[in-house]
Amino acid sequence: MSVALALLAGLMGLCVDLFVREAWRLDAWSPDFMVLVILWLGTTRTWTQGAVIASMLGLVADGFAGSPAGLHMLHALLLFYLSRGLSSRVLFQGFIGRMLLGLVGGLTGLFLFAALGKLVLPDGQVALRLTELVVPRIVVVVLFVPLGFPVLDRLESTFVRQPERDVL
Amino acid sequence: MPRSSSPRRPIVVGLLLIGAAVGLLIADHASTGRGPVSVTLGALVGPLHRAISAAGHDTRALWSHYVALSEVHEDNAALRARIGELEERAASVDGLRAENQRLRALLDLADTRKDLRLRSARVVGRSVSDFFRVLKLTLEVDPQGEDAGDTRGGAELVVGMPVIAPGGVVGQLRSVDGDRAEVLMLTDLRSAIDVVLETSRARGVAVGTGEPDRYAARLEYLQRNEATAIDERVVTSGDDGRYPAGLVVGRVTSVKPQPHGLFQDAEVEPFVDLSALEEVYIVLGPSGLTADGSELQREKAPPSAPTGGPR
Repeated sequence: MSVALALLAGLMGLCVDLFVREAWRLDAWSPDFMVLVILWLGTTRTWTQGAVIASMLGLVADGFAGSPAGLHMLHALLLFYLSRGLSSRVLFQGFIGRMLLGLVGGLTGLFLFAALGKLVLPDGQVALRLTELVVPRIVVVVLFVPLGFPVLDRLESTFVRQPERDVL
Repeated sequence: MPRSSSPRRPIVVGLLLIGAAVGLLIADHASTGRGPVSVTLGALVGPLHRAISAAGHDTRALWSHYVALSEVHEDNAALRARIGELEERAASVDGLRAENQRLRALLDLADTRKDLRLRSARVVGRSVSDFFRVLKLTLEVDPQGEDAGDTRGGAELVVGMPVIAPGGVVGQLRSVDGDRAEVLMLTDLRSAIDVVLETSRARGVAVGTGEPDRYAARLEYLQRNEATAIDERVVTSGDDGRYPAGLVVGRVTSVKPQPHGLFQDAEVEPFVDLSALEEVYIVLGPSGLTADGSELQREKAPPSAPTGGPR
């Protein structure tokens, strides 16, 4: 159930991203819900479960983006590992903490994707697109991570039954 | 923080997934077109993609229409303002047309009365009184005329000069002060004009009634035995030495024969709409021509300037 919810959340994130881009032509300023969900997975899921979910979502994102298969998958995986690795050492809590995670995740995710994109795209195009995207993407991710995490947490607490614990 | 059960499992899974992703990338890159995985992915997410795109597109269209509607409101406001402006202009054109008609009538009057020297003036006000009927005039200086260079404007004007309009007699000059003048209307209580009825040739004196709610004059000294008809035109006789003969004063609106005495009562309504006058002519005197503009026979001396004043 937890995996299904995470997949559903990621899929919804992709759909909303697509919808917003189509409806309002936000393009660079469109909230990258996929990145948001991957970062959230890093703070809530195990290495294995999170990696599987992230790679599946990345694969679906490849389908949505029309990019070469594996590109978004690899990007999602690496972003998940980054988020998971940071979360295992630093506790990102509160609005400011999550903004900080959003800043690191958004910036790294963007440059990570640019680095991966160099495998399949001409250098000039990647650099140009990176210049256009860097500010809006970081602003959007920094804003949406602290706002989106509580929503995802609430969804999970509502739909996923937590294991009962004995209070000693 | 949840933890994996086996320490090696995440590494193995991670390596496998990364390997799969890189393999897919290489396979896709190596294929000439889209790789089979890409094609399959496209086929799988295609319907969902299209549905969401369509929804987004519809939302965008709705949004665009909404924005367009707000622009329509702006256009509407601009067009309303434009309509107001055009209506104002149309009203101005109507005013100009009416003025044109009035001035044309004034010119026609000048053309038909070439025997008179006329001077145009503009009505700028009316007396605010229940008893007196006075028009305020401003004189228009003709730069080509006799007053050229005369800033006073009313140099040759004399109190008592007749004032006429296209409909007929308006009254007489009451005072002249520079380029301003006052006209005693024929309906003022102080006004008296020697008149003759056009058909019956009955004579009388048109005296203003001074009534505040209408413009009218009373015919005095109208012989009782004269056959006076309603709607008969009343014109100036020219015998008072002030008004030239033949100027239309008005029409008879009522006749009341008296059982006793020498005279009968009659009332005259001016032809000129005195309530809506805007331009008038002041009759300066005879021009030495006939009414149609031909030279007058020099057998007799020209009539002297009017010397009379208000009654």
